[in-house]
Amino acid sequence: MVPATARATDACARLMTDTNTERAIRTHANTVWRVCVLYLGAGFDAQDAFQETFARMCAVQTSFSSEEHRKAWLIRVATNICKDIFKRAERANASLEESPSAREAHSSDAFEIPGGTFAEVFDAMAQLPREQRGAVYLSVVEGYTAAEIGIMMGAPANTVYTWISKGKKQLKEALS
Amino acid sequence: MSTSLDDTLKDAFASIEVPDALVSEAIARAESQHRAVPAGNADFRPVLAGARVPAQADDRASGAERSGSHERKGVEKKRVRPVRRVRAFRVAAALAACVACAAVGVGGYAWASVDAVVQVNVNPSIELSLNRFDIVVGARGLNEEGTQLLASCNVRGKSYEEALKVLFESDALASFVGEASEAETLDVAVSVACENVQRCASLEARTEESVDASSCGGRQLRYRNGYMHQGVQQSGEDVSDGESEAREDAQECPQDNVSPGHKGNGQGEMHRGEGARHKNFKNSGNNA
Repeated sequence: MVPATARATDACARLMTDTNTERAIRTHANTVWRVCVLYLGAGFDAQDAFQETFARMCAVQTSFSSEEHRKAWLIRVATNICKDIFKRAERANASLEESPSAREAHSSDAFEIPGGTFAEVFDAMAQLPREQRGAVYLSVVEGYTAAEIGIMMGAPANTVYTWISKGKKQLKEALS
Repeated sequence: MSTSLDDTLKDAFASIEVPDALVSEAIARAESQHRAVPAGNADFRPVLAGARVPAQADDRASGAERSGSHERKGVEKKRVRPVRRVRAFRVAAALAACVACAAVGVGGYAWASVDAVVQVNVNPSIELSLNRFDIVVGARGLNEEGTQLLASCNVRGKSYEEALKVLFESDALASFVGEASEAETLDVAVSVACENVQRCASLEARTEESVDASSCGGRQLRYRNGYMHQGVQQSGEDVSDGESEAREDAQECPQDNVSPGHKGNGQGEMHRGEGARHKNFKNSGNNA
């Protein structure tokens, strides 16, 4: 039989955990969502990946040393989940050749991607290979170094340099 | 241009903001996940994201506690897997694998390495390579007949005595010996080479025992030490007519333990027999 004080302590601990989790979700929601949109567009797949990422954060028994550590972990997990969704879709013979914007058009309940100049940017990003897309995003938007990106994506730093260089070159040609 | 591209990308992604509904849904999902954790174990989390505990689990657990049941404790013990134990198990498994690999490597090396070489000359002449466990790990013929003999009977992997028995009792050896000799007793010259003197002596004794207990084609075998110079020293005699042939034979078969200066034992053993290529094959009946 658990004493009343112990139960109160458990409830307090759960409350603190809930608060920390909520704060972590609110802090890193935009980052995770951008990663999901980057890989999957703003459709149902991205929503699923978003939810799955934070579900794993709650489920895993990992203690993060800092918020930056948590952010890097979330980006990596979100990237892996997006890749898994890609693979599942490929196995199901889904039409993955379409760009995120095209897939968004097919989705009636999709979130909107900002239009105007940014639509061209996202279209140009969508034309990049997956690795180049992720490397350019992590380098330019999130500010990670090539070595850090290499660790996150499981590739040598020189390969990451090549991905960033080729991706930027292709983006310039597409946006010029 | 690069800076403008970077700025464009930053602005483009900065304009993407997650819908509040999605965030609220994620928070609600996380809260439900936390509530599903059994009371009294705030650190417990389902290992897999999909492994959710039913919503009533908390109430059921509380009821079990009130009734004094050990059900919940059993469930906790089954589900919670201490990280330290898992790590210790992995380390122990890795160490055990390393030890097993080292044992296999050392054992394999000890098994395959040649520790002693025995030359058996009956014409056919063969050479047996033994490991430290007295298992034949290699065999080769020192002349054409020896090669044919080994082709007809497999001695690799057998113990030394068993290999000798197989060789002596083989029909191939009986046919070769029958062509070469008509005597009732056949001398078998054996040369043993190994680094350990005691092991050499032991091998020679066992060889003598095996040879003397064997027969080939109805003829009794007789052990003779294959080192010809020992015979000379023991007899103290010199055989001039065998000396030149011994030199000739040593040049033909350098792998034999016969040096150019070796001589016969003074009993006519160095005479070339009926087609016999090695002088240490003797036919005591003819010599007599």
